[in-house]
Amino acid sequence: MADYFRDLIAIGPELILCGTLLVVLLVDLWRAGRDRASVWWIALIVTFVSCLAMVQIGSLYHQAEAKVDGMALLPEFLALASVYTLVTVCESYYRGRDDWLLGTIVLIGTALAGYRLWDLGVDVFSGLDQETAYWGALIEGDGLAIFLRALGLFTLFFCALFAIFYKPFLKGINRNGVMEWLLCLIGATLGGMFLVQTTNLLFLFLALEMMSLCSYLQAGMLKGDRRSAEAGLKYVLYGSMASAFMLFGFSLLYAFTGELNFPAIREILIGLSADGAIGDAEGLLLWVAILGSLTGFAYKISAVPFHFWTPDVYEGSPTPTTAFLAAGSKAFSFGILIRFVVLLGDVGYGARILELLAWVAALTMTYGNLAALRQSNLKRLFAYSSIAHAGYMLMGIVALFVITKDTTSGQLTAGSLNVDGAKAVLFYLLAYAIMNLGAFGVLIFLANRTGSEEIADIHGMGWKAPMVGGTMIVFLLSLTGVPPTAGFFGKYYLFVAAIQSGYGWLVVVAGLNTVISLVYYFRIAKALFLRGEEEAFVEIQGGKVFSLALLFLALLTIYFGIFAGGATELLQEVGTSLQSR
Amino acid sequence: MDTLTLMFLLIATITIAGSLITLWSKYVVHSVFGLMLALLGVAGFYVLLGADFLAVTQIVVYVGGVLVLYLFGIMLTPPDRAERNVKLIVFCSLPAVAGAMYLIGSARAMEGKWLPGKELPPPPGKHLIHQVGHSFLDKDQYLLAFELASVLLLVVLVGAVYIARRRWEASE
Repeated sequence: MADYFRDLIAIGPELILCGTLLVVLLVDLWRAGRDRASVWWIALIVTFVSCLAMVQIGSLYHQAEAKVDGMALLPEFLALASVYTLVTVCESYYRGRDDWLLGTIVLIGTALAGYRLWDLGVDVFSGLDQETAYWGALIEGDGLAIFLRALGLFTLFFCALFAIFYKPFLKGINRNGVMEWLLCLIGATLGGMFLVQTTNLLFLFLALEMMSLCSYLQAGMLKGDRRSAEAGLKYVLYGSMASAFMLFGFSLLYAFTGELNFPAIREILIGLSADGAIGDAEGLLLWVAILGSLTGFAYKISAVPFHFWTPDVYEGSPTPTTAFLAAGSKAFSFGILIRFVVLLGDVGYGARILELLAWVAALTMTYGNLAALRQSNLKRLFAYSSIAHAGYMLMGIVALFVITKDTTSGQLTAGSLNVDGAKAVLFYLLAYAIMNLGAFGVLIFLANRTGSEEIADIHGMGWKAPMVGGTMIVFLLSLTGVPPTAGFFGKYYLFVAAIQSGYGWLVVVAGLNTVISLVYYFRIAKALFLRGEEEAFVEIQGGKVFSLALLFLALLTIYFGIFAGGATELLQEVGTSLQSR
Repeated sequence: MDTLTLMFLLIATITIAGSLITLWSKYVVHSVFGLMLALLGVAGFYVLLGADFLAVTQIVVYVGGVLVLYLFGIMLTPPDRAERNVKLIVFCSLPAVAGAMYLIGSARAMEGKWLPGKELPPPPGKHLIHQVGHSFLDKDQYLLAFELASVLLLVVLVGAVYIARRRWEASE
């Protein structure tokens, strides 16, 4: 029984998100019913009292070394209960004017999940919890998982916050879809959070599909908007194709090794290559297997041969969804990609795959940047920019191993793990999530005013909302990679890692691309501040909290652009822990 | 030729015939029944391989669920008067041919090379379904996956209902 609770604690944040999801659903169901004020009051009192009791007991037991005690689960229950209490309070007091109610519940649930994750993270990073495999080794709660789960919760928080202020969710026919949209957002985040922890092919597929299906739904959720329907359909059709390829790759891997767990697969493959049992035929099979598996991840991060969905889906989806796809979905997929490459990069035909990935990286960033130059729609522009950034980050994945070529036989072999590659990708993911969330937040802010997402329609907006305009400048600078912003250090670490692993040419390509990207990011800045003079800007309702959130993101961008040290030390540790595999 | 080979050939013929009917028949409903033949054939393969649980699942999910869904879909959509485009069908068959060639080629190349690392697992005993059930509910096997699947189904169901629902009236 004891280790049951240990495993439950390990997925505490996810449990809280599940609870939040149910609460959102229940609140919506109840709200649709008749007035039941007395029931609400009783429920309120009961939960409040039990909450107080649990706070008391929980803090007592958490101080005692209670890792294997059932009581150590209390934070999770506590979190659920407080979410429930809050819902009850809000529902009782604010029936009828509750545009922000469901969103707020998600914010609170996310914060609580983050609090649980913090505890878990402290344990992992202080080395308390050495054994990190849970649930029959389906998931691995190591540093990489903790970091990316935290990043996922961060993204979830801001996407839910944006949704509260997103105009189509406030007015018109889509008002009724907010509950469903939030459920799908939480579901996608949950899937992603499990995705970055998993070390099992079967569970990986389940988690990835959970993230994907919920994203497909979110993309198509704007009723009465043809572009949204098109986005949903395109996303699901291309996505299921990519999943099919990935599943085919997994099945080949399983057929070859008879194992589903990454470490076991790795062990068998290493044993086989040591025995010389991997000849040409087996190598080919492995090559197809790994390539097929990578297709699924490449689709999610929109690397170049699998990027066709990106512009349409980014443009058609509700903007908070677009922000999630760009910041959350991409971070999760890169997380599992790191795990996958770290485990299989230096066995079998891994070296060949890595060499291929280097070309994919170069193509991806170049294509993304060149295509972004010609866009007039802001969301499409950011879609292409996100393709380009996927290319930069792939550079870090490629840099995970040093490839050496045997001059006589032309055989490629992957050397030791270069943890700086992982560190660079993770830091870039952090920076990218912050600046991209910020940029999409500004898009929502502006679109609420103008009702359009064309560059031509934001002319002069910077002067009318100076603070938001100013934050946009920060995000744009960071996306370009100009110091002192987080984007600069992100690119710097990526370049360093790539040079360490001997990919000088890739760094040159990336450098040139950065210059190209300056052009289209500057176009946005120009439109904001150097064009058009219209009537005075009228702030939208609730704009204060929204602009403060954007300001916070901008400050965070600058913070990580100056004090990157703390984060990189942590990530260095994450990278080092990957070495044990 | 022993009985097993004969069975295999019979089932293979049924499966391939079913697939061809699905592709080439003039009426959509005939295609659906062709598909049913093909799916039943695949279930037959599973039985031959000793995977009875998989066979039952195949029949319940695909024949019982997916096909009925197709039939409903066909019955509820207005009929398409246009003839089925033969050129398009041939064009669509090309990847299938390429795939089959690839499969045959790789099967020949891989002959006997599956699972080079270990012996094939022993054929499952009598109580395969018991084993499946236990592994679903055993904490050290697939309990977490099982639970996650249930959350997934909940969320996707709610989302799908919203997407499929007619537009809400503005007045609620």
